Amino acid sequence: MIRTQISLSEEQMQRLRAEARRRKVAIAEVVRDAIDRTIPADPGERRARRQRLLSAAGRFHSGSGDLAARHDEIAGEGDR
Amino acid sequence: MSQILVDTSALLALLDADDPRQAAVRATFAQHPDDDLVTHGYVIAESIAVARRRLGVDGVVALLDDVLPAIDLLQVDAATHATAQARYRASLPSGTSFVDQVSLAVIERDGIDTVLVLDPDFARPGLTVIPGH
Repeated sequence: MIRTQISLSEEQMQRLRAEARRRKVAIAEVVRDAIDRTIPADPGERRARRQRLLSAAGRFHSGSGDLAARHDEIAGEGDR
Repeated sequence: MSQILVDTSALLALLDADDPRQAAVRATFAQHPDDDLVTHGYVIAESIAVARRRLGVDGVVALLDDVLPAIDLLQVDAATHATAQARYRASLPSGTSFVDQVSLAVIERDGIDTVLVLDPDFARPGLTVIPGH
């Protein structure tokens, strides 16, 4: 993590504190989340990551083909 | 550009060549290059658990190294967790799974209107389910 210092208006700080209280997280977490939502990743990097996701498609064989349909049960959360 | 929440079922179907909807899920990912893919930690934990059991270590590695870097992680704060937990408790002994309740609470919190999922529990007014049933 990189430490930095920013200036906010009183009203912005009040909103930031209120949101952090509502979420029960640190103020820094609200700021990091806002940055991730507001500033998109580099387009080239984004395309490369999406291509890598697509390259993983169908790479494995479960033998049953029911992982998606029965994932609750397989993960141990089936009805008891 | 909008946010699409990716559920466990979509992640697993993407990886599994034996899943009857694998091609449809892959096509759906490919059809939304400009939308933000998002998920949360509970979906990741569930996906890892199932992938480890049925696809082995290599399946988990593909999930971690190739799939998840393309999907942004949304935080599940204490208030969102509490909402999901209360709804899950109220739905017992049957009903929507806990992880799905968390997804629905995140969707509600962030105003997400599209979910990439194969689970019928997500069919509800105002929420677009892709690739569709």
